[in-house]
Amino acid sequence: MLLSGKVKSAVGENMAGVTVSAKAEGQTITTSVFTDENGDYYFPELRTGKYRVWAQADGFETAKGEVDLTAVRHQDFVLNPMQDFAQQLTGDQLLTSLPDDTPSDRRIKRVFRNNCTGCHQPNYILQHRFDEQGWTAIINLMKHVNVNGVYMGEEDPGQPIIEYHEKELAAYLARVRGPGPTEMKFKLRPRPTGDPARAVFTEYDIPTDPAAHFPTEYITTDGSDWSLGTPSVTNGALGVHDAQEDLSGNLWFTNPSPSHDITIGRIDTETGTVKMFKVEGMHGLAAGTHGMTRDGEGHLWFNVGAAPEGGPARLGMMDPATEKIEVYTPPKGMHGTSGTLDVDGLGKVWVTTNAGVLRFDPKSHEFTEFKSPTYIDSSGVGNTYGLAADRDGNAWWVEMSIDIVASSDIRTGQSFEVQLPPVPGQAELLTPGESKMYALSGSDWNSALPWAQGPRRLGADKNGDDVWVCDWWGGTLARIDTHTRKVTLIPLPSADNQQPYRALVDKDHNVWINMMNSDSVMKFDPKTSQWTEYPLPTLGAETRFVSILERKNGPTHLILPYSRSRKVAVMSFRTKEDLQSLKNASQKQKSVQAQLQ
Amino acid sequence: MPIHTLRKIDFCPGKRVKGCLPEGGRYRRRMCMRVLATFGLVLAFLLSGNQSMSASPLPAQDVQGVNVKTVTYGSDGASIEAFVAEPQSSGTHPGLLVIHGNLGLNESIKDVARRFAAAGFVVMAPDLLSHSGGTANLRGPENVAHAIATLSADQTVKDLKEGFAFLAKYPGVDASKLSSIGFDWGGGRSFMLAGAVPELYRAVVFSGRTPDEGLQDIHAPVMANYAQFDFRLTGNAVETDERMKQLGKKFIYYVYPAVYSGFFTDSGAGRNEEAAKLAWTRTLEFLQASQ
Repeated sequence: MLLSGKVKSAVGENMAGVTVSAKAEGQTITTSVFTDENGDYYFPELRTGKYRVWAQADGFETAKGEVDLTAVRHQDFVLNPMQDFAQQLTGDQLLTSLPDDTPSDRRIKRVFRNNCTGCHQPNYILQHRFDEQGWTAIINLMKHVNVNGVYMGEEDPGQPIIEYHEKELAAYLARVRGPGPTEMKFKLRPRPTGDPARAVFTEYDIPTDPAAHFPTEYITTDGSDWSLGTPSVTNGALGVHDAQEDLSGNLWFTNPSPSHDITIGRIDTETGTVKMFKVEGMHGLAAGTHGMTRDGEGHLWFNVGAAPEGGPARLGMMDPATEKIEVYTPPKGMHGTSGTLDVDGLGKVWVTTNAGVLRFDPKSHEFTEFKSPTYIDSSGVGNTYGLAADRDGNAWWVEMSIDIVASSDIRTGQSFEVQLPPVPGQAELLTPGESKMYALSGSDWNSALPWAQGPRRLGADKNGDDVWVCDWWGGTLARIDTHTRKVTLIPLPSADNQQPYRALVDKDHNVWINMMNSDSVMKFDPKTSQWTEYPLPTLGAETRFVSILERKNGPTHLILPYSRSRKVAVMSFRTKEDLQSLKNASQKQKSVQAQLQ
Repeated sequence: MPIHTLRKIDFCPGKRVKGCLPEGGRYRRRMCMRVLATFGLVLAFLLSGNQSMSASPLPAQDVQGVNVKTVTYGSDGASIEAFVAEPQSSGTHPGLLVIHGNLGLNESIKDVARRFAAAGFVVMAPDLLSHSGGTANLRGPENVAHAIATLSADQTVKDLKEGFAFLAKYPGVDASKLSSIGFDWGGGRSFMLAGAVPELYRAVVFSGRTPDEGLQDIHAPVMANYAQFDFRLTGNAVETDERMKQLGKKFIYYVYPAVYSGFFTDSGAGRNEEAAKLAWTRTLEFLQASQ
């Protein structure tokens, strides 16, 4: 059945780029579209049923409706202005709104950005108000919490950069999100038009881990109503990291959170049914995982934790056709696997380790290790994170905390590295004490020097000779020529406020990036140097990965796992002609219905 | 590691990171220069190539003129066992309380105690796991570390205060020159003890956490030795320095380039002979200084 409608403001203006979502009663699948330049929206064909439908835009109250979709329906909305809309804004919008008119404010804003927004979004922090004492209590706790979200106890010395700025940061946050008048100057991003407004999102809810005994089967505040703020892990909104679509159209996701039963999960995209799979791990738990990639035959590869008896973390492979998992253990003397994987142009599977990468040959089952040339230096400990494998059969991986991109040379067995240049303009803002402190603190996971680029995850052009690296702290995209290793930095449109997480490259060489802190996807076209932003329908999605399925004779899908709202989304594309066909079909069906009545 | 290797170890290690200056990285070089200025003394000593010093700690068989024994003292109704190393020479000697890290009172700490005894101190190293049966009975570093983690700060400081009182009355100890030195977990306890015992002569902290509270009560000069690659701890040195200076306290700290926190006490891969020698010399001078 077709569902369409118009969205107007309270003063009667057509509103373009409004997000309109529909979810069938008792179901776990949400479909979202956007209004066009006339304020009209058109859903793709939906199944018959009773639907909740809602429309929202930044700065407006969420408008809600219900439709019984037994026939073609038209549901209009009127959006009323919202007085205090800070809670519904994305992280990048709130960062943009933070005062930075003085050198002092620019300096402390960078401290906030580079130390408080790596594990969760800025809007998770800034959605509530606290006085200085309250902010101090929060900072005092968070400085002892590590990248895994674990409170490290009273003996922990505290993250040095946060420790050093604790008082100043609390005072700044109390100025901007305190009980009194705020110094924030809210700058809303434009609503989508053009290609992004024609996108369709299909979001699949994943039930909370049953063994974890969260209060509800599905998280309640799940980001679908922006006015309620962002989801929280305390409600079970965790445990989804990477995701892929298999060649049959079902979705698979990894689970990085401790669990008795879940190593990876599968979502049946027809029904929304979720099935969990377990690889035995240590201490009676399911072995944990993080990254996932898909090879040319449709097999899904993922890192998987140590065996029940211990040993190195392993490599897993799921064949979606048989639903059987094979597990491969790196041989003695090699590092265990860690969190990111890719398949190169020669069909070899690459996976990161703490100290570099492993290459796995799916035919011979042989592992080969490449170590990072530099793992620790005066800027901190390397912290190997993202990885991409190129078409020539080499891998590229990043040492996030020390701004280094390393690469393999499979001909010689050696590893090479390139150092990314620092973010300009930050050093001049520092006080003498800060300069001394930063020289000793270095960067850490998700706590970084002001000039850090923070290469996080990356993607290789499988039809070209470029690797694209997302520089999380620098707000830049590093283009690296896989043959010359030449680096070109491309700033994002709002580099101080936008933070790219992972890049992938489509068959047309476009670079797609999941913007974790913006709840959006960015496309960069290297041919035109144009950026296009596709907003997600969920606030606080916290996407840490994006993958793609390009079919020869079928639609292209971007797959977006939502780590903070426990969903996986599929983003699909509509052309102007697609939309016109829908309009025509909708009008035709309406006229048929009118004649019948 | 030969001295000439250490010449290259500064805050912009050139060998592995290809120099201070990344492309367009004007700031990085400036930062390096600032750091080099800050730690000029460290490098000056390294470059001096003073190889006459022997590294600390020394194994038992290499220490001459030292007697060792085990003693016990009471604390909070419990009996605290302690390793004592003292010079065989007669007369009074300065006292030193050696506080172990999260591996407990192991051979490495005893070696440190013997080394300071050979340098003229009456040294006592309490086993702060005495409440849990003692380090030796816990069988293995994992069990020891777990037991250490259960010790409350209040309890250990209380045990150390009693140890201080015990050592002050120990024969041949100059109670007016009784200091403390601690390593890692024990380094933080040495810092805490400085705030809890006004009579403490000096406190030395190796890779120890700075207490959140109590700095205002410190009377003794405090010296801290940090390892550069112990980023999370070492990164807080500047803030500690600023806090101590604001309170008018005597505090000096050193950062040892390109080493990990076990550079002094570790007998394995974490040990760095040159940094250990330098730290030993500095620590000895600090403890022996009259003012």
